[in-house]
Amino acid sequence: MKRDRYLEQWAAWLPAALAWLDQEPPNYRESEGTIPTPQRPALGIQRVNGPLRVALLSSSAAYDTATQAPYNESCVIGDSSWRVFPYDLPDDRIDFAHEHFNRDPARQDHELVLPRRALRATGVETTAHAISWSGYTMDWPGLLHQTIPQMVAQVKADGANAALLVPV
Amino acid sequence: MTASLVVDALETAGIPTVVVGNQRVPLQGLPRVVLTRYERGKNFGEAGDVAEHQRIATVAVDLLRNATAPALVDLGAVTQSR
Repeated sequence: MKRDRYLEQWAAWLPAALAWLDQEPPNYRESEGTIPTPQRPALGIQRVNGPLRVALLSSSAAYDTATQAPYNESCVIGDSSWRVFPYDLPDDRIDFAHEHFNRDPARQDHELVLPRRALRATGVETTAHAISWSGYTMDWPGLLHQTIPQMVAQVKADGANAALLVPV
Repeated sequence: MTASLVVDALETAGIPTVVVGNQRVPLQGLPRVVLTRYERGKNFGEAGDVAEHQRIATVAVDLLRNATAPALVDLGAVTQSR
């Protein structure tokens, strides 16, 4: 079995993080500020040849209220799951399950964190789906090993050659 | 913080990215960033301000089309309506 060094680092960090999060109010500064970070790749600039076909991804924890479960807002370490729904899903089918930002403005105008119309108005082609995850999660192993690979696979399956991300 | 992990994975998979955010520190070092100065949860401006939403989206798409080096465009100086 190949050892997962990052998972081991994260597991060693978790008890202290849970103690910080158990404080009233939860000490997010200490817990988020100390989470082990995986080694990052060296990223250059990749150019897109030809017309843009752009995927839209938002960490606003958006979900389809008619067909999908909301994210788990009551879990102290957040929710590392993700959702995909039709790009043109009506606004009244979308809500945001993320307690760490004031959702009232976004509920009034989804474009603030899920700019579907604004992106399309630039003239680019957009993919058939929008993708969302919850920006508040400390389950980074789950995010790294499951959620992100699935989101990337969805972006590729949708034929995107570029992506716009909106972190909340 | 999690957005940078998603960017890393997308870029590694050959998908160029642009991020529209409002916190500088967690976005530093990413290939293309548009920084707006609206408060958290209002990345594209105020509700109903369609022109501002489209202006920000246009800056982001322009970065995707034209950036030849890592770039962070700070729109704070001209985003005064909040």
